[in-house]
Order: sequence, then C-alpha cells, then structure tokens
Amino acid sequence: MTDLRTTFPTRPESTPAFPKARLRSPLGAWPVLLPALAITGVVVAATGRMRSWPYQEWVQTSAEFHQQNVFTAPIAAAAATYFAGRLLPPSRVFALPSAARAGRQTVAQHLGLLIGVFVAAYLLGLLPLVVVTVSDAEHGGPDIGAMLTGVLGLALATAVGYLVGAVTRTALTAPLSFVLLFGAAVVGSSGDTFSSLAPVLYITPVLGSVQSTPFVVYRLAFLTVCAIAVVWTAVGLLRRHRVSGRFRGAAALLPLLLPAVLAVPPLLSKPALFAYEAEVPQVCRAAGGVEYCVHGGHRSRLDLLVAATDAAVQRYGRPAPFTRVYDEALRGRPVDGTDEWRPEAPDTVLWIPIQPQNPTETRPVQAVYVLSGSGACRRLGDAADPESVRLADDLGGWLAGTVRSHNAFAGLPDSAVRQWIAANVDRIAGCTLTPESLPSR
Amino acid sequence: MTDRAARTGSAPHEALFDRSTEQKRRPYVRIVIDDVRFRYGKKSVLSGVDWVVGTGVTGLLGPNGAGKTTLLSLLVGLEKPDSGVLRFEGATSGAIGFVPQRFSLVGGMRVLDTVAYAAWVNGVDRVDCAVAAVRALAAVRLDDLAAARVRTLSGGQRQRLGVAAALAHEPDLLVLDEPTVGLDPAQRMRLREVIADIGRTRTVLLSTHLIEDISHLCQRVGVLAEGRLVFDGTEAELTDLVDSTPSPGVLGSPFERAYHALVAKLGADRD
Repeated sequence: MTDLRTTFPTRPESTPAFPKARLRSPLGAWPVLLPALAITGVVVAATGRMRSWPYQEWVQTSAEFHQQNVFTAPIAAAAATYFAGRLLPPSRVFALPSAARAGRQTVAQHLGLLIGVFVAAYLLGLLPLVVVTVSDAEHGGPDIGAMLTGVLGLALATAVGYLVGAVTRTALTAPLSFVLLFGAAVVGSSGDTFSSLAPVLYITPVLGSVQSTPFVVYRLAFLTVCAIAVVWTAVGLLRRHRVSGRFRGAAALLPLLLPAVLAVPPLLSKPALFAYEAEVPQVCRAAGGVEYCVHGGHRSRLDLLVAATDAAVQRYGRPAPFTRVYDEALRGRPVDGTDEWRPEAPDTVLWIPIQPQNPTETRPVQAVYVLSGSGACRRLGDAADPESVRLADDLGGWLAGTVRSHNAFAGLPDSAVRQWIAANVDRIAGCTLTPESLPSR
Repeated sequence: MTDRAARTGSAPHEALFDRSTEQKRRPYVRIVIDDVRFRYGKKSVLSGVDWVVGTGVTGLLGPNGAGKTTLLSLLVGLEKPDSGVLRFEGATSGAIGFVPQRFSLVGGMRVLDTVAYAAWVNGVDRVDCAVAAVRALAAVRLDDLAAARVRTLSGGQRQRLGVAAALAHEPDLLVLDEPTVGLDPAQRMRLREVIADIGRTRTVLLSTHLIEDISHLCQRVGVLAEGRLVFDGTEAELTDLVDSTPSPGVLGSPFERAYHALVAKLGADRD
C-alpha cells in the first residue's frame, strides 16, 4: 500500500474543532471501563477482610494475585466476548475479511487494549492489600512467580473470551464465557487434580511454606502457552476468513492442541503444590518451663502466644505434658527427630497454627485441648464416653478462663480444681472422667 | 484555521480537501478479468469470464444467480478463482473499497468512529484516520452527522455510511453490491448522486438488478448470465444490439426492454 500521507492532507495543528475518532475502543469507553470497574471493585471487596487482619503475610498476599481470578476472570472473559462479538463479525462494514489489518493487527489492538485495561484494573484492586502488606508484614517479600500466574490467568481469560466472541461472532455469548471461566476456576479450586492448570488453587500457602518452584514454573509456562495458542487461533480464524469465504475452523483451532498436550503430564503425575520455606527465621522465649518459638514473620505474636498459653499452664498447676510450643510456620525447620509436626501434638512439642485470619495465639486453644484431655477424647472418637467428653470440654473452658454457668467447674475455687487435676491426671489423659470424680463444692 | 477556510468561512476540515487536486492525482484503475472460473462444490458459478472494466462507474447486471456477487467477491479477495487472472492496472495502492449487499453496523457507535475505525482496519495510519473519516463522510454527504449514533440513521443514511466506510482508506477501486436495494425512491436518488460523484474521481463497479441504477449512474454496463459475460458496452449499444421494439405487455425504457430481451434470448437459446 502506498503512503497515504502523500494523498491525505494531515491535520493542521491550528484546528481545535477537528473531531476526534475513537480508534482503540470504537465501541466507546464503557464496554471496557465498566468491566474494569467491576474487576477493581470485586478485588477490593474480596480482599477487604484480609486488609483488616492484625498483620499480613507476603505468601498469602502473593497468592491473592491468582486467587482473585475466581470472579474477575469470568468478568474479563465476558467483556472480551462482548467486545469481539460486536466488532469482529465479518458482516460488519468495518470488519470485512478483505481488510488490510484483519487478523494479527486487529487482534493485537483489541487484546492489547482489553488485557492492558483489565490487568491494570486488577492490579489497582490489589494495590490496597499490597500497601497494607508492605506496612504490616514482618518477614519476606512478594512471590513474583505466584503473582505472575494471576496476571497471566486474567490475560488468558480475556483472550479466551475474545476467542469465544471471534468464533461465535456475537456478543450474546458473553454469558457463556462467564460460565466457562467460572467453571475453570471451580475446577481448579475443587482439589489438586487441576491445580497446575487453573490459576485458582483450592488451598493457599501460609507463612512457613511457599509455592513450589516447579509448580509455579509449570503454571507460568502452561498459562503462557495457552495465551499464545488462544491468540494464535483468534488471528488464524480472522485470517482464514480473509483468504477464503469458506470457514476452515478445524484448521484454525489446531494451535489449541499445544496446551492440550501440555496439560497431560500434571494430570498423570500431580506436582507438589507447596514446599517448606528454605531458611526459616525463628524467634524464641521461655516462660513457666516451656520454650515458645515462632517464625520471624510472627515475631509480634510471640508475646500474645506466651501470655495466653502460659495462663492456661499456670491454671493447670502442674508441669504441662509439653515442654515446647512451636509455631506451625516453623514446621519446615528441623527440630528433633521425634518432634515431627502432628496436628494433635500428643508429644512434648505443641504445634500452634498462627495465622492472621484466625489468631489462635491470643487464645490457648491448642494448649487447653491437650491439658483438658479433649484431644484424648477426640482421638477415641465414638468409643469415648459422652459424659467424659463433656467434662473434658468443661475443664478446657475452666483452663481457658471462659467458664459459663453450666460448666461443671463453675463456682469452684481454683485451688480445689488444681488439686483435683493433680489427682486425676491419668483419667484426664485417658478421657475417663466421670461426674463422681468431680471435686465436691 | 487554514487560509482557505479563513477566506471562505467554511469548517476547518473542509479546507483540508481540495477535490480538484485529488482528481488530478488519482489515476483511474482498469480491472482486467481474464478467463476467470469459479465453482462452489460441484456447481459452476463462473465459467470463463473475460471482461475489462474501465474508468468511471460501470454496472454489472444480471438475473438472480448469474454470479454477480461471486464475481465481486473474487475481485475484493473474499474468494480465490479456481483459474484465470484478475488484474488491476493503474492501481497505486492496490486497495479496494467494498460495500457488500448485506452489511451490519453497530448501532451504539458514532458515525465518525465507524468510518475512522474502518479506515484503520483498511490500513490507514492511526493519525490520519479522523481526517480520512471526515473526508469520506463529506463525500457521502453525512459529515453533518459525524457525531450521531448509527442507530439514529435512516436506511439510506446507513447505506451511505457503508459507502463512506469503504471509501475512507482512499481505494483505487470501489465495488458496490446492490447498493440501492431496500431504499425508498428518495434515498435511492440521493445514493445515486453520491455514487456518481465518487465515480468522477475513481473507478466504481456496482452490481445491481435495477435497470434504473444503470441508466442513472453507469457509463458502461456488463451483463452476466449463467456464469458468462454476455454483453459489455454502453446502454445505447445494448439497446441497438437487441431488438427492443415495444410489444404488448412489456413495459419500461428501451434499455430495460433490450436487457430483458437479451436475457430472454439467452434462455431461449439454451432451451
């Protein structure tokens, strides 16, 4: 094509009244801005609870970058389908398949705009959480790989939606794209079978663990290949319209085989999602003969943990069956051979889950569970005598300092309960307490 | 505002387009169609079309199913001929403007954006698209509706908007497939004026089944029947060629009668 500038007069600088054409978004601003606002709004709302946590963990904030795909990806996909469905039908006077820019340049312009705006909106929605994390996190930094999977996930969702619009040639299929992408998020979050293939995970890591490098690398590669294949297919579809009026859809869809092949290995052999943090900083303190240790990222929680747990141990009045209270975030750290992490901690190490969304360190839940015998009763399951279970729970309440009126230990002097505990240590540990064994009032 | 605009008091963008200069610059394009054949599956649609389309507005007439739309599709690159050659002599850009018989628009889009975006899709540099759009809208006399939404346009205005979209990238050749179909007489007249104007500065090929379109617009006419070009000449030549003596029950102009007589004769020959 010749240089049209030779035949087109260029716009003089002195013509302010000259109309401005909307080329990037010929449908106007709203078909792009409205979903962008929705994306930002959804992310801001969905991360609101996280922002109110007493402290932040980078590992969880990083994971939110892909977890927030759950609703935003369907929105982006539906909006892209609408956009493509309005602009790409070959019957449009401005989208005739014989046009010079039909194909690569059209797809590049459209997807460049949509992905650019939607990703910007997504990151804008996550910005408040990042700011809070920068301010409140006590350890570590962003997991760029995990964050990128989320950004790529949103970009891919937009491209998929665009492809749906290009194939169906109508904006009416926008709800179909929404359902399709929401389905993908649900599949990904339903278990670890499809975790490698969908941006949304069914579980997110907490402090002390990280998303494993092979897992993240695979996800990044898979999402990238998917995005390339989808864009390639969209370009191919438009190009084929251009070359021939006959629709050769099957050939245009060939690039989609690439991600389909790449999806097979993780389905056959599920990769480990998480790995323990390699070098875990530890902060410790001793109180009442018990050593308390937390992850460096939980240093501000140590005093709360000691205060709550030590109070229960003091009420117990005897040496506790555990001598060390460890933050579960340390479980990747070698302790002793016998100190392997176990959820019910029957041994000398009591593992405490310290998580910002459930600050159990301020309540001696785990310690009381062990000291009162409730843990022993739970282990017995249906074999446990219900009366013994009730008494163990009542004792737990008394140890935690939350005695209600119907509690069997309500109104009893502390010294009497402690004496009773000392006399019934074995029955408490074996979940064989009976009402007759209670101290007299 | 430019000097000319200042002198004449016209809108700023009008001064950008000097039609006389444009007319001098633009070379006319000759379309050479040489033994073009095309089949849809087993059905032969074009069976060896030879035609040279010259300057000005040329009409393509033919009964339904004659292959008019297929020939236009081959010209604009929507289809590829099974054999034969299509050549554009004198083309500077190789660009073709095409207005299909049925095309769609987006009602919510502005008129200006529709044409400017069409210009971009057809290869115009981004910075030139607005100028191109205003120019094309002026050519089809829709420049006063540039800011309007497409949904507010009448059928005739939409048809002219389609022509503007096909013109915006300054094609050497404009191809129109049944442009006046579905328009009321007043709208049809207005569109014919627009097409005639465009034909003064570039080569225009339009297919139609309306004899009136040919009479009002075309310097030459080709008649396509059963996949072959059976006539190429002027309206007068066709009238002279075929006996168009009025007969009872046959109405219309001498040209119309001649055309119908030609088509009827072809049918009789075949039988």
